[in-house]
Amino acid sequence: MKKEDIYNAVSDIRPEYLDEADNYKTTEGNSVNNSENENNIVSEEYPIRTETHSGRRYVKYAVSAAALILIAGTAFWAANIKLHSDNENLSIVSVSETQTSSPVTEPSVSDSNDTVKEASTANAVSESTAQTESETTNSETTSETVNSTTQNISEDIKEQKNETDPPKENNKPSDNDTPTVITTERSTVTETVTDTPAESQIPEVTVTEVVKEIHLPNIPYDPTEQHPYGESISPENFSKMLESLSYSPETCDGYPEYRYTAPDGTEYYILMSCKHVWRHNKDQNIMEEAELSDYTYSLIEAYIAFYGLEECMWD
Amino acid sequence: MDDQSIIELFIKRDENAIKESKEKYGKYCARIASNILSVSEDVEECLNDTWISAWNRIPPLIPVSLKAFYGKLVRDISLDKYRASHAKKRYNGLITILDELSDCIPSGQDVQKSLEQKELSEKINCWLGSLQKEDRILFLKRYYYGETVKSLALVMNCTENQMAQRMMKLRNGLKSYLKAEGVIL
Repeated sequence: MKKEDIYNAVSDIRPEYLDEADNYKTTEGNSVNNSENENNIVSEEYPIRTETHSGRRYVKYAVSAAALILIAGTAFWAANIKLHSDNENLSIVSVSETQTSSPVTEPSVSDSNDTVKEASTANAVSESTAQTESETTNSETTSETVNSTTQNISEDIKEQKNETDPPKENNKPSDNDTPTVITTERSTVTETVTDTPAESQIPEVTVTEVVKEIHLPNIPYDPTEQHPYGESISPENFSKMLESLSYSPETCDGYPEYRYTAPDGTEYYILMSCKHVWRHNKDQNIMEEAELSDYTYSLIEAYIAFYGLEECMWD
Repeated sequence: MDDQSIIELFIKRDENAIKESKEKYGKYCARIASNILSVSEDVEECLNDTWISAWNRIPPLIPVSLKAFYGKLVRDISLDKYRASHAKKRYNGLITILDELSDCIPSGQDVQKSLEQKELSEKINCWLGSLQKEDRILFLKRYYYGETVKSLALVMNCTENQMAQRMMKLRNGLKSYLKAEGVIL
Protein backbone atom coordinates (compact mmCIF):
# COMPACT_ATOMS: atom_id res chain seq x y z
CA MET A 1 0.00 0.00 0.00
CA LYS A 2 2.87 2.36 0.65
CA LYS A 3 4.04 2.10 -2.88
CA GLU A 4 0.56 2.88 -4.14
CA ASP A 5 0.30 5.92 -1.90
CA ILE A 6 3.41 7.36 -3.43
CA TYR A 7 2.01 6.44 -6.81
CA ASN A 8 -1.19 8.32 -6.05
CA ALA A 9 0.74 11.27 -4.68
CA VAL A 10 2.70 11.48 -7.92
CA SER A 11 -0.64 11.54 -9.76
CA ASP A 12 -1.39 14.94 -8.21
CA ILE A 13 1.58 16.66 -9.76
CA ARG A 14 1.09 20.23 -10.93
CA PRO A 15 -0.17 20.44 -14.50
CA GLU A 16 2.63 22.76 -15.59
CA TYR A 17 5.18 20.13 -14.65
CA LEU A 18 3.24 17.53 -16.57
CA ASP A 19 3.06 19.73 -19.64
CA GLU A 20 6.75 20.44 -19.31
CA ALA A 21 7.57 16.76 -19.20
CA ASP A 22 5.11 15.82 -21.91
CA ASN A 23 6.31 18.49 -24.31
CA TYR A 24 9.97 17.95 -23.59
CA LYS A 25 10.71 16.23 -26.86
CA THR A 26 8.99 18.79 -29.05
CA THR A 27 10.47 21.82 -27.32
CA GLU A 28 13.95 20.36 -27.50
CA GLY A 29 13.37 19.49 -31.11
CA ASN A 30 12.48 23.13 -31.89
CA SER A 31 15.50 24.38 -30.04
CA VAL A 32 17.70 22.24 -32.21
CA ASN A 33 16.89 24.32 -35.22
CA ASN A 34 16.75 27.76 -33.62
CA SER A 35 19.22 28.06 -30.78
CA GLU A 36 22.68 26.90 -29.82
CA ASN A 37 22.28 26.00 -26.18
CA GLU A 38 23.32 22.86 -24.34
CA ASN A 39 20.23 21.02 -25.39
CA ASN A 40 21.20 21.68 -28.95
CA ILE A 41 24.41 19.79 -28.36
CA VAL A 42 22.47 16.88 -26.93
CA SER A 43 20.08 16.78 -29.82
CA GLU A 44 22.94 17.13 -32.29
CA GLU A 45 24.53 14.07 -30.83
CA TYR A 46 21.42 12.09 -31.48
CA PRO A 47 22.18 11.39 -35.17
CA ILE A 48 25.68 10.32 -34.17
CA ARG A 49 24.12 7.76 -31.90
CA THR A 50 22.14 6.37 -34.80
CA GLU A 51 25.39 6.06 -36.73
CA THR A 52 26.89 4.04 -33.94
CA HIS A 53 23.86 1.80 -34.14
CA SER A 54 24.47 1.25 -37.82
CA GLY A 55 28.12 0.54 -37.01
CA ARG A 56 27.03 -2.10 -34.57
CA ARG A 57 24.88 -3.57 -37.26
CA TYR A 58 27.90 -3.78 -39.56
CA VAL A 59 29.87 -5.41 -36.78
CA LYS A 60 27.13 -8.03 -36.57
CA TYR A 61 27.37 -8.60 -40.30
CA ALA A 62 31.12 -8.88 -40.06
CA VAL A 63 30.87 -11.37 -37.21
CA SER A 64 28.33 -13.48 -39.08
CA ALA A 65 30.47 -13.40 -42.21
CA ALA A 66 33.51 -14.43 -40.20
CA ALA A 67 31.52 -17.27 -38.68
CA LEU A 68 30.45 -18.43 -42.13
CA ILE A 69 34.03 -18.35 -43.36
CA LEU A 70 35.11 -20.31 -40.31
CA ILE A 71 32.43 -22.93 -40.92
CA ALA A 72 33.38 -23.18 -44.57
CA GLY A 73 37.04 -23.55 -43.64
CA THR A 74 36.22 -26.23 -41.11
CA ALA A 75 34.13 -28.09 -43.66
CA PHE A 76 36.94 -27.89 -46.19
CA TRP A 77 39.43 -29.15 -43.61
CA ALA A 78 37.10 -32.00 -42.67
CA ALA A 79 36.68 -32.90 -46.32
CA ASN A 80 40.45 -33.01 -46.72
CA ILE A 81 40.78 -35.28 -43.72
CA LYS A 82 38.03 -37.50 -45.05
CA LEU A 83 39.79 -37.67 -48.40
CA HIS A 84 43.00 -38.80 -46.71
CA SER A 85 41.16 -41.26 -44.54
CA ASP A 86 39.49 -42.70 -47.64
CA ASN A 87 42.91 -43.29 -49.16
CA GLU A 88 44.01 -45.03 -46.00
CA ASN A 89 40.85 -47.11 -45.99
CA LEU A 90 41.63 -48.20 -49.53
CA SER A 91 44.97 -49.56 -48.41
CA ILE A 92 43.38 -51.24 -45.41
CA VAL A 93 40.79 -52.86 -47.62
CA SER A 94 43.37 -54.18 -50.04
CA VAL A 95 45.49 -55.55 -47.22
CA SER A 96 42.53 -57.20 -45.58
CA GLU A 97 41.52 -58.77 -48.85
CA THR A 98 44.93 -60.27 -49.35
CA GLN A 99 45.07 -61.48 -45.79
CA THR A 100 41.76 -63.27 -46.04
CA SER A 101 43.16 -65.41 -48.76
CA SER A 102 45.45 -67.27 -46.37
CA PRO A 103 42.84 -68.77 -44.03
CA VAL A 104 40.81 -69.86 -47.00
CA THR A 105 43.74 -71.66 -48.47
CA GLU A 106 44.57 -73.57 -45.33
CA PRO A 107 41.61 -75.91 -45.42
CA SER A 108 42.17 -76.47 -49.09
CA VAL A 109 45.70 -77.52 -48.31
CA SER A 110 44.44 -79.84 -45.62
CA ASP A 111 41.98 -81.25 -48.11
CA SER A 112 44.76 -81.97 -50.49
CA ASN A 113 46.78 -84.05 -48.07
CA ASP A 114 46.28 -87.19 -49.97
CA THR A 115 49.20 -89.50 -50.36
CA VAL A 116 48.44 -90.04 -54.01
CA LYS A 117 49.08 -86.40 -54.83
CA GLU A 118 52.35 -85.75 -53.01
CA ALA A 119 54.41 -85.91 -56.15
CA SER A 120 52.19 -83.50 -57.91
CA THR A 121 52.26 -81.12 -54.94
CA ALA A 122 56.03 -80.98 -55.12
CA ASN A 123 55.82 -79.94 -58.73
CA ALA A 124 53.15 -77.46 -57.92
CA VAL A 125 55.24 -75.93 -55.16
CA SER A 126 58.11 -75.45 -57.49
CA GLU A 127 55.83 -73.82 -60.03
CA SER A 128 54.24 -71.54 -57.47
CA THR A 129 57.57 -70.40 -56.08
CA ALA A 130 58.68 -69.64 -59.57
CA GLN A 131 55.56 -67.60 -60.05
CA THR A 132 56.04 -65.73 -56.81
CA GLU A 133 59.63 -64.95 -57.64
CA SER A 134 58.58 -63.58 -60.96
CA GLU A 135 56.03 -61.45 -59.19
CA THR A 136 58.51 -60.05 -56.72
CA THR A 137 60.86 -59.08 -59.51
CA ASN A 138 58.22 -56.69 -60.77
CA SER A 139 59.11 -53.69 -58.70
CA GLU A 140 56.35 -51.49 -60.10
CA THR A 141 53.09 -53.17 -59.46
CA THR A 142 49.95 -51.18 -59.97
CA SER A 143 46.77 -51.10 -58.02
CA GLU A 144 45.03 -52.59 -60.99
CA THR A 145 47.23 -55.63 -60.70
CA VAL A 146 46.40 -55.83 -57.04
CA ASN A 147 42.76 -55.72 -57.82
CA SER A 148 43.20 -58.34 -60.50
CA THR A 149 45.10 -60.57 -58.10
CA THR A 150 42.45 -60.18 -55.46
CA GLN A 151 39.81 -60.93 -58.05
CA ASN A 152 41.80 -63.93 -59.14
CA ILE A 153 42.06 -65.05 -55.57
CA SER A 154 38.34 -64.74 -55.08
CA GLU A 155 37.76 -66.55 -58.33
CA ASP A 156 40.21 -69.17 -57.25
CA ILE A 157 38.36 -69.58 -54.02
CA LYS A 158 35.17 -70.13 -55.95
CA GLU A 159 36.92 -72.55 -58.19
CA GLN A 160 38.37 -74.32 -55.19
CA LYS A 161 34.93 -74.71 -53.76
CA ASN A 162 33.70 -76.04 -57.03
CA GLU A 163 36.71 -78.16 -57.59
CA THR A 164 37.28 -79.50 -54.11
CA ASP A 165 33.83 -81.00 -54.05
CA PRO A 166 34.16 -83.13 -57.17
CA PRO A 167 37.28 -84.98 -55.99
CA LYS A 168 35.38 -86.32 -53.03
CA GLU A 169 32.78 -87.54 -55.42
CA ASN A 170 35.43 -88.80 -57.78
CA ASN A 171 37.25 -90.63 -55.02
CA LYS A 172 34.22 -92.54 -54.04
CA PRO A 173 33.57 -94.26 -57.37
CA SER A 174 35.97 -96.60 -59.03
CA ASP A 175 39.40 -95.60 -60.39
CA ASN A 176 38.33 -95.67 -63.97
CA ASP A 177 38.74 -91.95 -64.40
CA THR A 178 42.13 -91.57 -62.73
CA PRO A 179 43.70 -89.32 -65.40
CA THR A 180 41.03 -86.70 -65.00
CA VAL A 181 41.28 -86.94 -61.27
CA ILE A 182 44.97 -86.27 -61.36
CA THR A 183 44.60 -83.22 -63.48
CA THR A 184 42.05 -81.72 -61.19
CA GLU A 185 44.19 -82.43 -58.17
CA ARG A 186 47.11 -80.72 -59.82
CA SER A 187 45.14 -77.64 -60.53
CA THR A 188 43.84 -77.39 -57.00
CA VAL A 189 47.21 -77.91 -55.45
CA THR A 190 48.95 -75.36 -57.57
CA GLU A 191 46.37 -72.77 -56.73
CA THR A 192 46.47 -73.45 -53.05
CA VAL A 193 50.19 -73.70 -52.61
CA THR A 194 50.69 -70.30 -54.19
CA ASP A 195 48.98 -68.90 -51.12
CA THR A 196 51.14 -70.83 -48.64
CA PRO A 197 53.94 -69.22 -46.55
CA ALA A 198 55.85 -67.95 -49.54
CA GLU A 199 52.74 -66.16 -50.78
CA SER A 200 51.78 -64.71 -47.39
CA GLN A 201 54.74 -62.34 -47.47
CA ILE A 202 54.16 -61.09 -50.97
CA PRO A 203 50.83 -59.31 -50.59
CA GLU A 204 52.00 -57.29 -47.62
CA VAL A 205 54.98 -55.97 -49.55
CA THR A 206 53.24 -55.33 -52.81
CA VAL A 207 50.16 -53.72 -51.29
CA THR A 208 52.10 -51.23 -49.26
CA GLU A 209 54.08 -50.23 -52.30
CA VAL A 210 51.04 -49.89 -54.49
CA VAL A 211 49.11 -47.76 -52.05
CA LYS A 212 51.99 -45.41 -51.45
CA GLU A 213 52.27 -44.65 -55.14
CA ILE A 214 50.19 -42.05 -56.90
CA HIS A 215 48.49 -42.69 -60.19
CA LEU A 216 46.97 -39.83 -62.00
CA PRO A 217 45.02 -41.05 -65.01
CA ASN A 218 43.82 -37.55 -65.84
CA ILE A 219 47.24 -36.02 -65.99
CA PRO A 220 48.02 -34.64 -69.43
CA TYR A 221 50.60 -37.22 -70.27
CA ASP A 222 52.89 -36.66 -73.19
CA PRO A 223 53.98 -40.05 -74.54
CA THR A 224 56.89 -38.50 -76.41
CA GLU A 225 58.29 -37.18 -73.17
CA GLN A 226 60.79 -39.40 -71.42
CA HIS A 227 60.17 -39.90 -67.71
CA PRO A 228 63.03 -41.61 -65.95
CA TYR A 229 60.98 -41.72 -62.80
CA GLY A 230 58.12 -43.62 -64.41
CA GLU A 231 54.47 -42.69 -64.55
CA SER A 232 53.95 -42.58 -60.84
CA ILE A 233 55.62 -40.55 -58.18
CA SER A 234 56.83 -41.53 -54.75
CA PRO A 235 59.32 -40.19 -52.23
CA GLU A 236 61.94 -42.40 -53.78
CA ASN A 237 61.71 -41.03 -57.27
CA PHE A 238 60.57 -37.51 -56.47
CA SER A 239 64.15 -36.30 -56.37
CA LYS A 240 64.79 -38.06 -59.67
CA MET A 241 61.91 -36.21 -61.21
CA LEU A 242 63.20 -32.87 -59.98
CA GLU A 243 66.68 -33.76 -61.10
CA SER A 244 65.48 -34.68 -64.58
CA LEU A 245 64.14 -31.20 -65.26
CA SER A 246 66.17 -28.97 -67.52
CA TYR A 247 67.57 -26.12 -65.48
CA SER A 248 68.90 -22.81 -66.67
CA PRO A 249 71.02 -20.45 -64.57
CA GLU A 250 68.47 -17.64 -64.68
CA THR A 251 65.58 -17.36 -62.26
CA CYS A 252 62.32 -15.49 -62.55
CA ASP A 253 60.75 -13.28 -59.91
CA GLY A 254 58.63 -14.97 -57.35
CA TYR A 255 58.53 -16.47 -53.92
CA PRO A 256 59.05 -20.20 -53.53
CA GLU A 257 56.23 -21.90 -51.72
CA TYR A 258 57.82 -25.26 -50.93
CA ARG A 259 61.32 -26.51 -50.25
CA TYR A 260 62.58 -30.00 -50.88
CA THR A 261 65.96 -31.38 -49.95
CA ALA A 262 66.99 -34.33 -52.06
CA PRO A 263 68.82 -37.30 -50.50
CA ASP A 264 72.07 -36.03 -52.05
CA GLY A 265 71.59 -32.70 -50.25
CA THR A 266 70.49 -30.65 -53.24
CA GLU A 267 67.88 -28.09 -52.32
CA TYR A 268 64.91 -27.47 -54.56
CA TYR A 269 62.50 -24.57 -54.24
CA ILE A 270 59.13 -25.07 -55.82
CA LEU A 271 57.03 -22.18 -57.08
CA MET A 272 53.64 -23.66 -57.77
CA SER A 273 52.08 -20.29 -58.57
CA CYS A 274 54.29 -19.71 -61.61
CA LYS A 275 55.09 -23.37 -62.36
CA HIS A 276 58.82 -23.15 -61.77
CA VAL A 277 61.40 -25.01 -59.75
CA TRP A 278 64.61 -23.53 -58.49
CA ARG A 279 67.62 -25.64 -57.74
CA HIS A 280 70.48 -24.47 -55.61
CA ASN A 281 73.68 -25.32 -57.37
CA LYS A 282 76.13 -25.81 -54.55
CA ASP A 283 79.18 -25.94 -56.75
CA GLN A 284 78.63 -22.59 -58.37
CA ASN A 285 76.47 -21.26 -55.54
CA ILE A 286 73.77 -20.04 -57.90
CA MET A 287 70.11 -20.65 -58.34
CA GLU A 288 68.94 -22.48 -61.42
CA GLU A 289 65.45 -22.55 -62.71
CA ALA A 290 63.36 -25.08 -64.57
CA GLU A 291 59.92 -24.72 -65.98
CA LEU A 292 57.33 -27.32 -65.08
CA SER A 293 55.26 -28.98 -67.73
CA ASP A 294 51.62 -29.65 -67.02
CA TYR A 295 52.42 -33.25 -66.33
CA THR A 296 55.21 -32.61 -63.86
CA TYR A 297 53.19 -29.84 -62.28
CA SER A 298 50.35 -32.26 -61.71
CA LEU A 299 52.72 -34.82 -60.28
CA ILE A 300 54.18 -32.32 -57.85
CA GLU A 301 50.73 -31.11 -56.94
CA ALA A 302 49.66 -34.66 -56.19
CA TYR A 303 52.84 -35.34 -54.28
CA ILE A 304 52.24 -32.28 -52.10
CA ALA A 305 48.67 -33.31 -51.52
CA PHE A 306 49.58 -36.85 -50.57
CA TYR A 307 52.98 -36.67 -48.93
CA GLY A 308 53.24 -32.97 -48.19
CA LEU A 309 56.24 -30.74 -48.59
CA GLU A 310 58.00 -28.36 -46.28
CA GLU A 311 56.60 -24.89 -46.74
CA CYS A 312 59.21 -22.35 -47.59
CA MET A 313 59.53 -19.11 -45.62
CA TRP A 314 61.42 -17.06 -48.15
CA ASP A 315 63.28 -14.02 -46.87
CA MET B 1 -11.03 22.30 -29.47
CA ASP B 2 -9.63 23.86 -26.32
CA ASP B 3 -10.09 22.44 -22.82
CA GLN B 4 -12.61 25.09 -21.82
CA SER B 5 -14.95 24.17 -24.69
CA ILE B 6 -14.70 20.48 -23.89
CA ILE B 7 -15.56 21.15 -20.27
CA GLU B 8 -18.53 23.21 -21.40
CA LEU B 9 -19.73 20.27 -23.47
CA PHE B 10 -19.46 18.09 -20.36
CA ILE B 11 -21.45 20.57 -18.36
CA LYS B 12 -24.10 20.66 -21.08
CA ARG B 13 -24.07 16.83 -21.02
CA ASP B 14 -23.23 16.76 -24.67
CA GLU B 15 -21.76 13.41 -25.68
CA ASN B 16 -19.47 15.19 -28.10
CA ALA B 17 -17.42 15.99 -25.02
CA ILE B 18 -16.20 12.40 -24.94
CA LYS B 19 -15.58 12.40 -28.68
CA GLU B 20 -13.54 15.60 -28.45
CA SER B 21 -11.70 14.26 -25.43
CA LYS B 22 -10.81 11.11 -27.29
CA GLU B 23 -9.59 13.13 -30.21
CA LYS B 24 -7.45 15.43 -28.11
CA TYR B 25 -6.26 13.22 -25.28
CA GLY B 26 -6.79 9.74 -26.64
CA LYS B 27 -3.15 9.15 -27.57
CA TYR B 28 -1.93 10.82 -24.42
CA CYS B 29 -4.04 8.58 -22.19
CA ALA B 30 -3.25 5.53 -24.25
CA ARG B 31 0.49 6.17 -23.85
CA ILE B 32 0.21 6.35 -20.07
CA ALA B 33 -2.00 3.28 -19.88
CA SER B 34 0.15 1.22 -22.20
CA ASN B 35 3.27 2.14 -20.21
CA ILE B 36 1.62 0.73 -17.10
CA LEU B 37 -0.47 -2.11 -18.48
CA SER B 38 1.17 -4.45 -20.91
CA VAL B 39 -2.00 -6.01 -22.32
CA SER B 40 -3.53 -4.04 -25.18
CA GLU B 41 -7.07 -5.19 -24.42
CA ASP B 42 -6.72 -3.92 -20.87
CA VAL B 43 -5.40 -0.61 -22.17
CA GLU B 44 -8.44 -0.21 -24.36
CA GLU B 45 -10.73 -1.12 -21.48
CA CYS B 46 -8.90 1.33 -19.26
CA LEU B 47 -9.43 4.13 -21.77
CA ASN B 48 -13.13 3.41 -22.00
CA ASP B 49 -13.35 3.53 -18.23
CA THR B 50 -11.51 6.85 -18.29
CA TRP B 51 -14.04 8.48 -20.63
CA ILE B 52 -16.95 7.15 -18.57
CA SER B 53 -15.31 8.30 -15.35
CA ALA B 54 -14.77 11.78 -16.80
CA TRP B 55 -18.41 11.88 -17.90
CA ASN B 56 -19.52 10.98 -14.39
CA ARG B 57 -17.21 13.43 -12.61
CA ILE B 58 -17.69 16.50 -14.76
CA PRO B 59 -19.75 18.16 -13.38
CA PRO B 60 -19.70 18.71 -10.42
CA LEU B 61 -15.88 18.62 -10.75
CA ILE B 62 -14.44 21.33 -12.96
CA PRO B 63 -10.80 20.46 -13.65
CA VAL B 64 -8.28 23.27 -13.92
CA SER B 65 -6.22 21.26 -16.39
CA LEU B 66 -8.03 18.68 -18.44
CA LYS B 67 -4.72 17.06 -19.36
CA ALA B 68 -3.72 16.55 -15.74
CA PHE B 69 -7.22 15.40 -14.95
CA TYR B 70 -7.17 12.73 -17.65
CA GLY B 71 -3.66 11.72 -16.68
CA LYS B 72 -4.66 11.17 -13.09
CA LEU B 73 -7.79 9.29 -14.16
CA VAL B 74 -5.88 6.98 -16.42
CA ARG B 75 -3.27 6.30 -13.77
CA ASP B 76 -5.91 5.56 -11.14
CA ILE B 77 -7.86 3.27 -13.42
CA SER B 78 -4.67 1.55 -14.50
CA LEU B 79 -3.87 0.98 -10.83
CA ASP B 80 -7.31 -0.52 -10.34
CA LYS B 81 -6.68 -2.79 -13.29
CA TYR B 82 -3.39 -3.71 -11.78
CA ARG B 83 -5.00 -4.52 -8.49
CA ALA B 84 -7.59 -6.66 -10.24
CA SER B 85 -4.97 -8.59 -12.09
CA HIS B 86 -2.23 -8.46 -9.50
CA ALA B 87 -2.51 -12.15 -8.75
CA LYS B 88 -1.71 -12.92 -12.35
CA LYS B 89 1.56 -10.96 -12.19
CA ARG B 90 0.98 -9.61 -15.65
CA TYR B 91 1.99 -5.98 -15.27
CA ASN B 92 5.70 -6.01 -14.78
CA GLY B 93 6.01 -2.36 -15.79
CA LEU B 94 3.87 -1.12 -12.94
CA ILE B 95 5.43 -3.49 -10.44
CA THR B 96 8.84 -2.09 -11.28
CA ILE B 97 7.63 1.49 -10.91
CA LEU B 98 6.04 0.75 -7.57
CA ASP B 99 9.13 -1.02 -6.35
CA GLU B 100 11.28 1.90 -7.29
CA LEU B 101 8.90 4.39 -5.69
CA SER B 102 9.02 2.47 -2.44
CA ASP B 103 12.63 3.63 -2.15
CA CYS B 104 11.28 7.13 -1.59
CA ILE B 105 9.51 6.18 1.62
CA PRO B 106 11.76 6.84 4.60
CA SER B 107 10.46 4.00 6.74
CA GLY B 108 8.13 1.09 6.51
CA GLN B 109 5.17 2.61 8.32
CA ASP B 110 1.78 3.29 6.75
CA VAL B 111 1.63 6.61 4.89
CA GLN B 112 -1.98 7.39 5.54
CA LYS B 113 -1.55 7.31 9.29
CA SER B 114 0.94 10.15 9.46
CA LEU B 115 0.40 12.22 6.36
CA GLU B 116 -2.52 12.95 4.14
CA GLN B 117 -2.31 12.13 0.48
CA LYS B 118 -2.60 15.76 -0.52
CA GLU B 119 0.15 16.86 1.79
CA LEU B 120 2.44 14.26 0.38
CA SER B 121 1.63 15.44 -3.11
CA GLU B 122 2.42 19.01 -2.14
CA LYS B 123 5.76 17.96 -0.72
CA ILE B 124 6.57 16.10 -3.90
CA ASN B 125 5.54 19.11 -5.95
CA CYS B 126 7.82 21.33 -3.90
CA TRP B 127 10.64 18.90 -4.30
CA LEU B 128 10.07 18.76 -8.03
CA GLY B 129 10.16 22.58 -8.14
CA SER B 130 13.58 22.51 -6.51
CA LEU B 131 14.97 20.19 -9.12
CA GLN B 132 16.65 21.13 -12.34
CA LYS B 133 14.36 21.08 -15.33
CA GLU B 134 15.92 17.98 -16.84
CA ASP B 135 15.75 15.99 -13.62
CA ARG B 136 12.16 17.00 -13.07
CA ILE B 137 11.24 15.93 -16.57
CA LEU B 138 13.02 12.64 -16.11
CA PHE B 139 11.25 11.93 -12.83
CA LEU B 140 7.83 12.67 -14.27
CA LYS B 141 8.46 10.78 -17.49
CA ARG B 142 9.43 7.76 -15.48
CA TYR B 143 6.99 7.85 -12.57
CA TYR B 144 4.04 9.71 -14.03
CA TYR B 145 4.02 8.72 -17.69
CA GLY B 146 5.61 5.34 -16.98
CA GLU B 147 8.23 5.48 -19.71
CA THR B 148 10.94 2.87 -19.58
CA VAL B 149 14.48 3.58 -18.51
CA LYS B 150 15.66 2.46 -21.93
CA SER B 151 13.55 5.01 -23.78
CA LEU B 152 14.64 7.73 -21.37
CA ALA B 153 18.26 6.80 -21.95
CA LEU B 154 17.68 7.09 -25.67
CA VAL B 155 16.13 10.53 -25.31
CA MET B 156 18.89 11.77 -23.01
CA ASN B 157 21.59 10.15 -25.14
CA CYS B 158 23.14 8.04 -22.42
CA THR B 159 23.35 4.39 -21.56
CA GLU B 160 20.65 2.51 -19.74
CA ASN B 161 22.88 1.99 -16.73
CA GLN B 162 23.69 5.66 -16.52
CA MET B 163 19.99 6.49 -16.66
CA ALA B 164 19.22 3.94 -13.95
CA GLN B 165 21.90 5.49 -11.75
CA ARG B 166 20.47 8.92 -12.37
CA MET B 167 16.98 7.75 -11.45
CA MET B 168 18.30 6.18 -8.27
CA LYS B 169 19.91 9.48 -7.29
CA LEU B 170 16.59 11.22 -7.86
CA ARG B 171 14.75 8.73 -5.68
CA ASN B 172 17.34 9.07 -2.93
CA GLY B 173 17.03 12.84 -3.24
CA LEU B 174 13.27 12.63 -2.77
CA LYS B 175 13.73 10.34 0.20
CA SER B 176 16.16 12.75 1.84
CA TYR B 177 13.83 15.66 1.11
CA LEU B 178 10.81 13.97 2.64
CA LYS B 179 12.88 13.02 5.64
CA ALA B 180 14.10 16.58 6.06
CA GLU B 181 10.53 17.86 5.75
CA GLY B 182 9.54 15.76 8.69
CA VAL B 183 7.65 13.10 6.87
CA ILE B 184 8.07 10.40 9.45
CA LEU B 185 6.23 7.42 8.20
